[in-house]
Amino acid sequence: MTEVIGLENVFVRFPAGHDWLGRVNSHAHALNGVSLAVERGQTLGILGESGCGKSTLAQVMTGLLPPTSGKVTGRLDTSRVSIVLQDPNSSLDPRMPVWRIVTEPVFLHSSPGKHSLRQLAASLLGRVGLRPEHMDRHPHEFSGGQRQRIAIARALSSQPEIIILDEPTSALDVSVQAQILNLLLALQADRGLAYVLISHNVSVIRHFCDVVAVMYLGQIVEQGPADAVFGRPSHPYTRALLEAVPKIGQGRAKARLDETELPSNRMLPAGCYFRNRCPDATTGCEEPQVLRNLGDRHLTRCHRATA
Amino acid sequence: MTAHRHDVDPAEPILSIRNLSLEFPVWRGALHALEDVTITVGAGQIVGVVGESGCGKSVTAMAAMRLLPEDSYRVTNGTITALGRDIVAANEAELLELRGSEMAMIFQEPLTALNPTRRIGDLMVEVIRAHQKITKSEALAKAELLLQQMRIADAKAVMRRYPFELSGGMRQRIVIAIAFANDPRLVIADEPTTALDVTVQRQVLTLLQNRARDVGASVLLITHDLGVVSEYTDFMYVMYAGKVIESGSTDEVLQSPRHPYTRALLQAGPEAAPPKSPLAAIQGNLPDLRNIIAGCRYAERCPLVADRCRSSKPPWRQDADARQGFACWIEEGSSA
Repeated sequence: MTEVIGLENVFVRFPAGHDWLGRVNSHAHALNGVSLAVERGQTLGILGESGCGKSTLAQVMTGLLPPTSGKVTGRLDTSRVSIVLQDPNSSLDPRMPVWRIVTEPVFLHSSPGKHSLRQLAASLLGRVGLRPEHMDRHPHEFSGGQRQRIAIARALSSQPEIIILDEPTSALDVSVQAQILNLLLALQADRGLAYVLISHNVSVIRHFCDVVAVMYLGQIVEQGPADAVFGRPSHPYTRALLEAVPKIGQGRAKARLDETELPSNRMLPAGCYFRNRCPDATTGCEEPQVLRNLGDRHLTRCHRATA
Repeated sequence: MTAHRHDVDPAEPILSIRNLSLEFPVWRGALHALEDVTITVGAGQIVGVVGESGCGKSVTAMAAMRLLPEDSYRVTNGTITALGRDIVAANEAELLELRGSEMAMIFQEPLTALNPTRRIGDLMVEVIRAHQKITKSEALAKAELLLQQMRIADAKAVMRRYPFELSGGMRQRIVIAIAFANDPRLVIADEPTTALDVTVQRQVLTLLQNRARDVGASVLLITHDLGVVSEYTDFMYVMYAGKVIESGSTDEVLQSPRHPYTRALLQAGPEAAPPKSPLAAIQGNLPDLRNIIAGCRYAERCPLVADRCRSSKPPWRQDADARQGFACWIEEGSSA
């Protein structure tokens, strides 16, 4: 398999505070040493809660944000990477007709004539299940699900090898979410696309991804094939996350309460980042944790985990 | 218990919405937002209302609190009775007395529900003293206790903070603390955890559930998440396009859904299919509620649609033991 995009030990920090002379004296540490690789035709899921750095990761992968340190490999040409954002209401220009929106990436790279752009728009709209006759309409004339289809058509227009999907269905209803996920799976089968699906929704990631990386405070805490991570979660955070998802038909929720406040990313905790919330914390957790291989490409950042 | 409380017959439901039809006048017509909605919340019950966007679940909640702008809507039929009072006919003074004390509401987005210019402690004292004749220092002590019951560790320090200084989960716990400030008997929670992460969602819902159980309050929990309904409610209503299409005890509705829409909703979730296989999406769109719909509102998207579904409204069918009911023409025993 060929690698489409790779990250090597990527750190990103943002200036977060200044002293009286305007010198930066504190940072928000968004990514703290992330390494991963996406192969052709593969879907990588990034699972994590708000503030874990998953959207920063999307920006690094698309080249919108240079890493503070570390390396991004494989991304030779930015037209090979596309992105679909969470909220189609704000990611589509309300003043542009749909045909301009979906061909904008091509127009910016090679500016072919209007006729060929409109032809391209018609075929793209047909491919995502919209009617090509509607290409002169504006985004407000479409429903939420249709708008997300427009965003997908735009992402396809530059013929990318990889599409970053940043919470593509979290603004949609379940029935519409199903339509969009089906469309994305069909497009992948057609074109051998690689996807990076960023989501906080465990069920969507479980359904959609081959490989999963679970993030916590800017680090990957567990990574591996989806069936291994969901079937035998080895990191306490992954287990807490999976247990927290409300499930149908499991009866009444237990009255047990867990600590949920995320540590600040201004001052990173010493040792294991999850230590303060971890139900299994013990001696050894005050040491910084490394990603260990449990075998069969299943990695975990916990010294107590066993395969 | 404060003096102004009215005594309610314990057998009476806390909230009873009966055959409610409500419309919003729009240009050259009306948007028929609710049609013949009947929802009952018994004492101490946690009742879920589930549905997708546009199904009328929030309008129902707002109507029950009478929070919709007065000029913007018309109740064309039906009644709303909460705690023995007629909400549709109540005057503003009665509503002010009810809201925030015996009836409380929790909104989706805690940052917009909390006044950004006031400290948490001031906000809480204001709510407490609006309904209880106690001194400011007594109110402060009560506020601190309420925050502690919501498992906020450093309650005194939090009361000096502004809403923007707190995390989303913390803010929503404060909103719940405020909702319970005057010992309500009915709490309406409209998507209380949609803006929150799953671990925080579990904590907030568990706190809400425990608190309601402790004080014996009833909760109307409005959500789009069937998992939340399954784990936190006793009884549930499924709404579609302004109508209740199925209701019943939560376990029975989720285990043996009768209405085609409830079934479709359960099958559309990613949990329902093996990984990478196509999901059972519901084709089509919501009907335009400005039109008068003669038949079933789900007919255009229903796989079992027949002629009479388009021409006449489906009957409400109720199980013999009255624990589950649904509005559909399909015959007994047929399956989707």
